[in-house]
Amino acid sequence: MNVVVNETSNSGVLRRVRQFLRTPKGSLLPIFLALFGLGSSAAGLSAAVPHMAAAVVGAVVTEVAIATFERSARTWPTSALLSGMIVAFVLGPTTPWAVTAAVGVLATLSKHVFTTQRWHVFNPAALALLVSVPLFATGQTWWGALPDLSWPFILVVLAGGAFIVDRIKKFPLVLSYLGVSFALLTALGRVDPLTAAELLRTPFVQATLFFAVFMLTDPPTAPSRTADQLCIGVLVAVASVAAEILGAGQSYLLIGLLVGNVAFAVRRWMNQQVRAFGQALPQRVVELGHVEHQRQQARDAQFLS
Amino acid sequence: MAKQSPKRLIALSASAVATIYLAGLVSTRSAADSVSVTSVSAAANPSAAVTPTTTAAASSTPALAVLVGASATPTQAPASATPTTTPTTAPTTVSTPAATSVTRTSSSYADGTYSATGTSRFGNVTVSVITAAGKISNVQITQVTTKFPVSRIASLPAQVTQNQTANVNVVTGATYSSQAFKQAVQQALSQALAANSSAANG
Repeated sequence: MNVVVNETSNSGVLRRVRQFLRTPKGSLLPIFLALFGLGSSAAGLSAAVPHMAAAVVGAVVTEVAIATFERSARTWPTSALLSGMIVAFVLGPTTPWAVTAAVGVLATLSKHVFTTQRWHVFNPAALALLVSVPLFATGQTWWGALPDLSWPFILVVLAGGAFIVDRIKKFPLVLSYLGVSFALLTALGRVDPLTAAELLRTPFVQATLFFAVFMLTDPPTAPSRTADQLCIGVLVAVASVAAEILGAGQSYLLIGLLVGNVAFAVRRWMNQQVRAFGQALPQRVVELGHVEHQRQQARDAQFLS
Repeated sequence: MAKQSPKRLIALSASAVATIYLAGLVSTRSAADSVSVTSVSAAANPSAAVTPTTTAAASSTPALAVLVGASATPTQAPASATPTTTPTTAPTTVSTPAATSVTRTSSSYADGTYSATGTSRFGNVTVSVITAAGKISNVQITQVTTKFPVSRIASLPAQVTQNQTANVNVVTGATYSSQAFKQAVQQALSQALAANSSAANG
């Protein structure tokens, strides 16, 4: 009996794991683990493992604490786990673990602070990383994008990224961003060839690709409609290159993304207002009809009297 | 709801993006090669002056205090954004005239600890250079602003100590950082030379 029960519970767990791995978040986790393994070979396991653990623990513990405080339904904090991993991939592995954990905490907090009833406004990892620059003087290496390995390893990032982007149907967003970004940098090469040369090569090109496939496409903050994806992709590319020219340094990618997040949030809010007005319009017509009917009755009564 | 774009359209768009990137790569190849040539010639001709590309804009972000040194026993240098001179021992008396170039080696530098800052469009680098017996004995990156990773230029202090010159190879992917580092080391060594010449004249 116990054997049957154990086998049943084991198969239930396995089924749940398989189901999870079929979801977009579940698909992303093995890809991140692969990048972590490869990136650690250059960064060193002794630095990479505690660094990743600090970011993930900071993000996940905060998510669990908030869920407990709000008494919301218990779910696996997968989003927090993935945000924490992205934070770890961007920050240098030699960042003090307390700072890395704090940035992980900020990533989860930002999801609950800058939020509407249905979605959060900003990409959690991007906002936390940007805020950490003035707060903790953090430095970015984007080691998760494998810039310290030979160039064929970028194919790992591209392959994993293409798989995820295809799952969540965000190719228009990614391709419009990359196309416009590279075109602008090529044009920049006419004016400032040295800067353009650097941004089109290691480690910046790896960072750009990682950013495009794993951060720009975050489903809660990225549009679904093709037209919106194309517009936001172009906007993020223009904003990030402009930020770089104006001296944002390494944060230029994050600034571009947050500009895109704001634009998309405004677009969603406007859509909401239009839908709400459209739903209220028939009711309003009926109300106006009632008022006019009452006025007509009053005029008739006056005429008859 | 998001619609799945046709695979053929995706492949075509991806090819277009790759073509744009390759065009950018080719059009900036001469600039990238010129950086490589500069670093190679600097290594081969230590007396050549390297002019760093700097901007006047100072970073407003708080500085990251780091300790990236070349010696086995790094010493803690004060974090400072402005060049300072803090000699810790009495300057050595030398018989040769004070050198005007930072590339001269033996018996040119007054013993002490010298700090200076180099600037670039991506931020600043502050270094601490310790000289002893007229030679560069230790170089540390003591402070960086947050616009680039210090890890990419972590090998440069060892180059300075090994080659006894401020002219180090430019790090690929950290061109401006490398130039800021060189500028900082050159300034620190200039201070050491000035201290030596004032001691010789005094």
